[in-house]
Amino acid sequence: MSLLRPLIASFLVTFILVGCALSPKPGDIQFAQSNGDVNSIDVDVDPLEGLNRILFAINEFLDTVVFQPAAATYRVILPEFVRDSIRSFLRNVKTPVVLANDLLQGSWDRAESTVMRFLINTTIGIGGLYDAADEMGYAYHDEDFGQTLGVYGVGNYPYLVLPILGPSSARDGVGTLVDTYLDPLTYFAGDDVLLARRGVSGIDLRARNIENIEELKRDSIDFYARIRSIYMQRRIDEINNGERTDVYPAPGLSKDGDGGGQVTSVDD
Amino acid sequence: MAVDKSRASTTRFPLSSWRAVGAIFALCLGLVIPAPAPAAGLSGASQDALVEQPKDAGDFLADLGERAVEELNDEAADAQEREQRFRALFNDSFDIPAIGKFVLGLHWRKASESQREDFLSVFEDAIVQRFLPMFEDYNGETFVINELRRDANNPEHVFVNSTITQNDGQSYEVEWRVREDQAGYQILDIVAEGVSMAITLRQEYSSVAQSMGIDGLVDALRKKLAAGAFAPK
Repeated sequence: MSLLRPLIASFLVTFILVGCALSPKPGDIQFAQSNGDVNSIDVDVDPLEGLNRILFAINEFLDTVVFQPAAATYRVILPEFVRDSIRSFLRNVKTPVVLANDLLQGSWDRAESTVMRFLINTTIGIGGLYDAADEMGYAYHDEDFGQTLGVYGVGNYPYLVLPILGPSSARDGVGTLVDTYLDPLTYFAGDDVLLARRGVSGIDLRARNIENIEELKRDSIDFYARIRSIYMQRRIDEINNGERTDVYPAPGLSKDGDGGGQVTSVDD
Repeated sequence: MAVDKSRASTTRFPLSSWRAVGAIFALCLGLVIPAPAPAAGLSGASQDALVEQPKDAGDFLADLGERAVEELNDEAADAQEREQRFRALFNDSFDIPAIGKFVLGLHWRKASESQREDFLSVFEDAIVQRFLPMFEDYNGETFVINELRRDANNPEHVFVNSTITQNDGQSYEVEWRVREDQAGYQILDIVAEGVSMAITLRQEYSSVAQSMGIDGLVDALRKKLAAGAFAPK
């Protein structure tokens, strides 16, 4: 029961949001199947922009008063090797989720690497505290169910800003939820342990990006739009496992030089 | 993070963890800065490459970094002169009009001639403000060219794949889109960990132009410029 109720609630919210957002407009069709199709960069991916901006502002406020200071403190009081150990440990614990998604995507090589990492780090790496596998040629990679859906061709649309969790989308929100159920710890560990894990991995990630975020924010004139753009591009890159393609719109491509030739326009 | 162990085994509400404290705003994604510094000259490229014609686009980038560091550390010139030379170098090396045009996107067509000029001028200033200090205060980044790849659809364009390693050991994969023609080489875009500078700026600036018009966009950029916001700290 306790499992079911929030699940149903989350799905309801997601589908209501998606339902509102997907009322088709002419010219929108391209996005329906745009799994990483960056040629459609100017298509409106954000029909819920008004609501999203409010949530983004609330998250920004929470970040300023809670998360950024917590991350800065975390970084000051713990030496780097301890923070690295914490990250390695948390990554090791998350292995089943990564492995499940490797397999769901048919990435056998990556699945093998995930298994090797787990075996090496759990033993030689002392329960995952030390990332010995990395030095043995098995570098860490992340996978989540949002990426799996992306590989299956589900478009990253519409954009959603989730409270506290930040940038997401209907697809990735569902992905986050499914990942929770792919994680054995969900069924074995107590609420507090899961909460602590969330908190620590969030703070660790924030602590590793203090300067990056400051920099991104300082010279932006619309931080919301910048983060949305970076989120969309990062997800495409993650779905492609970092493989670059040549199809990206770029300056100097079309004859008239504005790159507009390849880009679907929003308002024409 | 206090964990009350006595409750740990009795309550199981997995989703409360999903909804509660959670990861952090913006950061669930492992963001990186769109444009790290190409502190190229210090990676040990040959000194006399300066006078020679670069033999490929990778060479061109390495030379550019080297020249930028040299211009900015030339004791004989005063600060203003150094900035001027750096600006000239950057104007030669980046196709700022093409990038600016792309960044304005759909709004470029609607813009008047004077609006376009205003935008390109403030955009150039912003780029110079951003990159100049990176070359001036070189602090241990290494820049390694990995491979060159021609754009299958645009034979004039070459992707230069490089790895930039900060002095804390953190490294980023950065890909440069460089146009190659008789006149030489020009940078068109910088893509770090899958995030394109041109696309990011296009989407951000379009959003501002949408709500405040092109004049509003130019104004906003001028204010940032006056505050020195583009310069890395």
